[in-house]
Amino acid sequence: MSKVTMPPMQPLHSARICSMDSKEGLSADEVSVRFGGLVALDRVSLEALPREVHGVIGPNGAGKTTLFNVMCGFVKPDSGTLTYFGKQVHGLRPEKLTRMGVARTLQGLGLFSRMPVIENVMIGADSQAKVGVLRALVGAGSTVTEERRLRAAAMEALDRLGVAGYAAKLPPQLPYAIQKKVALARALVSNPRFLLLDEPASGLSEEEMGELGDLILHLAGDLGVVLVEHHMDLVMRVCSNISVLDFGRVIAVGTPAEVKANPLVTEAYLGDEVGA
Amino acid sequence: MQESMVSAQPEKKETPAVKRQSGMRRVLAQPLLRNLVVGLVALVLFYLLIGHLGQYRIYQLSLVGPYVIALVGLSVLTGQNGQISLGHGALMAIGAWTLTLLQLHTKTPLWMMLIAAALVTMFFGALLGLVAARLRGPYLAGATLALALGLPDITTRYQSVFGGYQGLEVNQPNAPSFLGAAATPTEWLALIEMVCVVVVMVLFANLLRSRVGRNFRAVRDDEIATQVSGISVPRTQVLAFALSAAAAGLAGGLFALVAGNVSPGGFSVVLSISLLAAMVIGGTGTLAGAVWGALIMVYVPEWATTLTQKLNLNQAVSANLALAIYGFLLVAIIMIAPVGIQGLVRVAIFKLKSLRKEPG
Repeated sequence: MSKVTMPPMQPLHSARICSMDSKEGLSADEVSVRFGGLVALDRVSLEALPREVHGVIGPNGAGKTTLFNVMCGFVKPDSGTLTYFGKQVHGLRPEKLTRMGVARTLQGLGLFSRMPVIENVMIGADSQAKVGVLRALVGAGSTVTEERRLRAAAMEALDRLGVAGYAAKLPPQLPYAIQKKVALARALVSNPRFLLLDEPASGLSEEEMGELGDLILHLAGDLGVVLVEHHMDLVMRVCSNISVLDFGRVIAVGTPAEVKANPLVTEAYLGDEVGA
Repeated sequence: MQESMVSAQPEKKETPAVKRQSGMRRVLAQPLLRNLVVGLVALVLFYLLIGHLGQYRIYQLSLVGPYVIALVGLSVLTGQNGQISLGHGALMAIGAWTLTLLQLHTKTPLWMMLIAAALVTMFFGALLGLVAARLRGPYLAGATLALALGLPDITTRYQSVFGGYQGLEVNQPNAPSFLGAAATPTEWLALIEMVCVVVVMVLFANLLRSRVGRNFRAVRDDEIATQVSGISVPRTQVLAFALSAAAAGLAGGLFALVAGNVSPGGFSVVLSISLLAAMVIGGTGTLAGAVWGALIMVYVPEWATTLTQKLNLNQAVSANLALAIYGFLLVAIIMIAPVGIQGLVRVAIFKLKSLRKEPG
């Protein structure tokens, strides 16, 4: 927990935090998304920095997941831009972004149910693989070497999360908390520079949530984390910066303490949870 | 399979248990070599077998070959990649006509004609795959069914090229002189087919064990998670369709050789649907299941005919008995063994193994 280095305090802006000069992370700038007549995101900006945990909170339907989907390429914004280390990346397909180093976990886990755990994680490592179809067909020696390498990398990722013992199991046979770790291992095995976590604490016990908090802080030692989460204890503990969304707009940005103290946030939540 | 691969890892070779492995064992631990060894053994056994069979039995066996190859392709597409195709009969037709037209108009050697049949069909399969990548479930079934329905009509529309209802004649290759006068064209064709079956099986077994096969399965299980893992879903789907079509094309080429002609009647919708049913009965997604499925496609109609003759059934019944048995098998297999005959075989092997372990 003590590993995390707190970045300097940022002044609180009302609608946007993306400072134009700093381009060292993953940032959404003035992003708007409309689904038909519904405005899901209205000129939302968010800047995630390396080695920082950035929380995204807000009531249900505030646009958190839509923002996530924009940041990982699933949803193309109607306006606004997505920048990754100074490079315009909006409009890129999700698989391209993943290969550039933006990994994410899914709310529904999305494990491959008919493949053993180890192969699930090997899929995550596929971005490092080079063997093409022809060599795969003839079963060239390079295929065997590469498979061994991917398998080792996947095993290491599982081991890092303490679930290497389940490598040969099928995901549906495992408890939910273990499945979550497998999904996380699949995202981590690609050595991402940014990790987007979509409600990682849902369905976990208090104790498991504590472990998750430690893990996130540990991960933030070498990569940037963006966290969408409902559990305020966890968010307040691990995040160095928090963006609060309400009805598709950013209503507050700042450190946990600042966000807590912001009356707009309390109002959006009708006083529950944040004040606790 | 995976265990044997792990045991081949260099860092584990230090342990005495692995060092004691015989040379043969080590060869078999290499997937490519193991597949080749199994394939060669199958080839030799097959060669010995056809020496003891009559010409008609050999002809029947040579009908199995093309179906095995087509079913391998279909089974990989459906069972491993999650895409359904009701158009594989039509893809076989493309391969069949490619070979026939090459034979008719050029002096291409046989092996090149077979490769051409696979490649041309692969090209059309890739096109179909581009469409398929945008369609799911019933829509994909419908689109591929349209191909199966429409393609045979092209052959009757352009009669001068494709031969119309009569179709075109295909010359069967003669056995090369080194096999002696003993090898009839039928035997030679059966051997060619067995070689093709072994090659296709080895290639697809390699593929399924590689990252390409794993990506196929990932797309089948969860497309969104596959994308998030950095893998292009449409590209994977088009690749699966193209490779599956290549197998169907080769199968079609061989089918033309065995049948001695190509005509639209041989590649009707019934063929496409029979392939799909045989795939399910054999065991969707498994290579061995393709063999079971192909055997059923050839021998069930044969047994049905024998049965009607023995029981003196009338024509109306005998004409449909094979189909009825087919349907019955399909329902029975789905009820008792969702993974088909190969699923049953696996369960049996597993039980035998655990039985053998208990006393030791």
